[in-house]
Amino acid sequence: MLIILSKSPWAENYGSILKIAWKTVENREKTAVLYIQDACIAATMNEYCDKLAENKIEIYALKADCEARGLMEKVRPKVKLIDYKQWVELVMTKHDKIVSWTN
Amino acid sequence: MSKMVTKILLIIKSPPYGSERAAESFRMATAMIAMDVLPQILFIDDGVYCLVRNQKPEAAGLVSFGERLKTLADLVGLYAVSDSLSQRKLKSNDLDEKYNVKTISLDETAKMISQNETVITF
Repeated sequence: MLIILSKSPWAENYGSILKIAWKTVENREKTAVLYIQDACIAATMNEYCDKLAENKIEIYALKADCEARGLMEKVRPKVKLIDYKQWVELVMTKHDKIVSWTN
Repeated sequence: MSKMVTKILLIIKSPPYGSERAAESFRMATAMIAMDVLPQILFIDDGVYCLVRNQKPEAAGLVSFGERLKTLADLVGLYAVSDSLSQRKLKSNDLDEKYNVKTISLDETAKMISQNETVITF
């Protein structure tokens, strides 16, 4: 499962979807989270990166959106920065389910 | 004709580039200055991310508001709420020095809101 988040963690409650992500990992599913647009702010925050990584959830952020916002220096080490082509690969070949979590 | 409101505070609480809100507030401020009304501009909550340095909006195909914001900084000055910065672990050296941002406390923010006739949030 690939979960795509696009709103700032300060503006949207990530709690439920991240709990769901943990459950899918418990059920031995391969799960990843991708931060795009304003959600790239989460890629700079310990609670939305390191803790997920500890629970074997892969974390990606769209590099262009991090660059746009001046966040590159603060992106946590566990986050894999990807370009648009790699995003397509994640969606088309690496994950069978895509959950676009947006309001 | 009724008296024109001249004490205006623009509060930006939206992060940059995910929506047009922040950029729209800067366009509005420019228009006000053109009409000889000098607004105060305050960044709070996710709005403080507008002030972070090394922004490259072109990387995501977006139009930069950096130059406009720099002009506003020179003409009317920019304020940011220190609580919002510290919650987000942003220090003053994370902010673009060209904006010369003044950080203010929540107390000072309350006074700033009280002292203005009109407050518009973005």
